Order: sequence, then C-alpha cells, then structure tokens
Amino acid sequence: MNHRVVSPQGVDLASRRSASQLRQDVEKELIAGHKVIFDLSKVESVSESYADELFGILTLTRGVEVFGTLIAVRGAKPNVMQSLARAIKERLDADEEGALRGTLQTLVAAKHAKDARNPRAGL
Amino acid sequence: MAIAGLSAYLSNDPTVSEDGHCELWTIERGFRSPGFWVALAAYARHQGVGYQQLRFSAPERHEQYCRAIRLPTALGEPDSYEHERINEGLKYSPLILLEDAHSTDRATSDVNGCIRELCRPLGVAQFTADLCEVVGDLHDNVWSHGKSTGFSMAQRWNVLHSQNHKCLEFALADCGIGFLRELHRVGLKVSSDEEAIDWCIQKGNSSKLVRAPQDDWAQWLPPDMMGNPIAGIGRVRESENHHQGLGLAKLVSLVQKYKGALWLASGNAILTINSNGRRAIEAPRFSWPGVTLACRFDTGAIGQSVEAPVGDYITDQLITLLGEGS
Repeated sequence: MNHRVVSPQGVDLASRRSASQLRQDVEKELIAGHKVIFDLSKVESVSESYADELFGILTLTRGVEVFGTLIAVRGAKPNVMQSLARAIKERLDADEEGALRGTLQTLVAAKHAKDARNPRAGL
Repeated sequence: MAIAGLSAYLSNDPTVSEDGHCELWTIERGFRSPGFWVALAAYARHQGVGYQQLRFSAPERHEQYCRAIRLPTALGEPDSYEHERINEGLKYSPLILLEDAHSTDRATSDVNGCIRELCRPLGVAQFTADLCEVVGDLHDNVWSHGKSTGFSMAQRWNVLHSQNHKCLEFALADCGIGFLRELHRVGLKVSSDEEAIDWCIQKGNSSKLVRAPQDDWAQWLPPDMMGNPIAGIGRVRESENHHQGLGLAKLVSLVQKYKGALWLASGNAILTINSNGRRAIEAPRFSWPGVTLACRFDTGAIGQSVEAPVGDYITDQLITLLGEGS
C-alpha cells in the first residue's frame, strides 16, 4: 500500500478551518487506499481546536484503530504529540474506559509486533 | 511606570463633548499595554471611527508605536511604517484582525513566537506549550464567535526596577454578541454578564457543547460522517458539532498557577484576577458589545513555579500508537 506524507503549513496550528480542509484531503487519500503520514517536525504547537478538528474527527469517523494502521505521525515534538493524543482521547467514550484500555493494549501490541517484524516499514 | 491596559480603556467616558472630543478615541500620555490597543482597535472599527479621528496627547511617543503595531492598518489605512519590523513575532505581535483562517494562524504564530522567545531561558516547557495551545484556541474561537470583528495583539516589556524580569501581555477583543447573548442563544438561563462570564470560565463549559437551535458551524461542516469502518471497538462520543471548548478555563488555570493577571470583560462586567489569585468583578464605564480579555505574565513568577509532569495511561498509549515506528 502506498503512503502519502502530509506536512501542514505553519509552525503553530490553530484554526479549525485549516484543520478541516486538511482532514478532507486526508480522507481522500484514505479512500484512495493510501496510508497517511503526518510530518509535524516543523510544528511547535497545536491548539485543542485544530487537534480536535483533525485527529478528533478522524477518530469519530474512522475509529481509533485507524492510528498505527493507516495514519501515523512523524517528527512531532512531545507537547504536540500530547495535544493530538488528548484530542483523540476526548473523542473516545469515557464511559468505556476499561474496554478502551484493552483495545489500546491490543493495538499497541499489534503495532510493536509489526514494527519488530519490519523495523523500517513505518506504517 | 503606570500601565494603562484593558481596564483603563473600559473606564473611559463614552460621551462625546460639544467639541467632538471623546475619551474613547483619545490616547493619553503613558504606557499602553495590548489590552488597551485591542479594545481601541475593535471598538473604533465597530463604531466606524478611522485612524485620523484618533487624538494623541503625546503624538511623538505614540504615533510611531501605533504604526509599528499596525493600528492604522487595523482601521483601514495603508501601512505607513517606514522600518523593517525586526521584532515582530519575537517581542511583540501586531494588531491582527481575525477574519479568516490565514489571519488566525498568523496571529497565533506571532503571539506564540513571543511566548517562546520570552520563555526560552526560563526552562518552563510545560507552561510554554500550554499557553501556546490556549492562544491558538482563543484565536480560533474569537474568529468563530466574534464574527470576524476580533483583534489580537501581544507585547513584552522590561519590568521597571527589576534585574531581568520581563512581562508579556496577550490580548483579544471582539465586538461579536458577547457571552450573555451567546448563552441565551443556546437556551441557557443566565441572567447577568457576571454570571455569563462565570459560566464560560468553568472547565468543560462551552456554549458550543450545548444543544443550540442553529449552529454557526453547521453551514460549513463537510458531510463526511462516514461511520466507523471497524465497528465494535473504540466507540466514539457523539457530538453535534466539532467545538470542544473555549480555552478560557485553561487560561484561567494558567493565570492562577503561574501567578499571572487576567482581565476578562463582556457586556457590563469585567472579571479581574490579580497575581495573588484574588478575583473581583468590576463594572466598565460602557457596555462592551462582545468579549475582550488581556492576560499578563511576569517571568519572575513563571520561573518560580514548579512544573508537574503530565500524561496518563490512555494518553501515553495513544502517543505510542500515533508514532511512526517504535
């Protein structure tokens, strides 16, 4: 499966409108059967609004399973990763925390196993 | 050094004298902080007052500065500043009208550039990240709630009589519908501006999360809800729209944790939080038509605060999942 590298414009990502436009581009890539890698190496901060509109809504429409299988993030600073993860978490059902923990454990274990089989494969 | 900020602007007498003089359009001698400038720019634009109608008590001190921070441009004049703005995005962020995604992102980058520059020597990575994130949220929400009437600005300055302390103030002002009318619009029973402010700064409260008769964002939301392709796991929380919060609760939390100061006004109320954490409600001399705020941080106080590590099991697992490789 081919992958596409997406690099958002700007150092500080703030507006929902920008995130929404980028998400629509990402959706087209996914529909076309491509995997998507977000290159965030130049990004210094992501607002809650931006993170929710991009990663939160992708969680809403495609499920958390899309991360690590079809979508990944490259080069993000720790605070940026925190913002993205929080946005995803906010969109997941807090009432199902036990089930969510199990799901994440399974997904992370599958990702580790895949990475171990082919450490250079990326997604 | 007396600093005239947002409170000073809101305590101006709005009446117009017989000779046409009005305090609202007069810039008196002395230092003015971003809270003053954003309120002036937003209200002048709201009232159709042009740059040429402003009166300067000390034009030699303020006119050059006003051109540097782009006040004439904010009020419809061409940019006449003759120098290169080498400190823009480092020591100050000019007045930027938040009218589209591009200007919202640009204002965020300029303000956050100032924050990073200020905080770099302090070793306060968490504060820097949290404040930058909040600035982005506030800009985005002023744009979406403020009907493209909002201005942003930031400025840092040296604290008088201190060794190395600096202050940074970040301010926003819009002439949208304000908190009270916004909460009424979504059906909340709130009876005063003071109550509306109090509601809006509570964690988890956002008018966008209340069921509204019609949502502003519904017009442009793409019809892309295509469903979870792998049903059964990772169930998601449904929401009518994509707004999650206003960032105000987080800003208040940062102001209190890092001993900053905050002024937040809407309608006939101004909430102030001083560096000791004391809250007070004041009344402006005139009703502010939208929302305006200014927050100020002192590097002396920021540097003394202890940063606690953040994170939890689910967030950490999600970060692992998001990373390109392990």
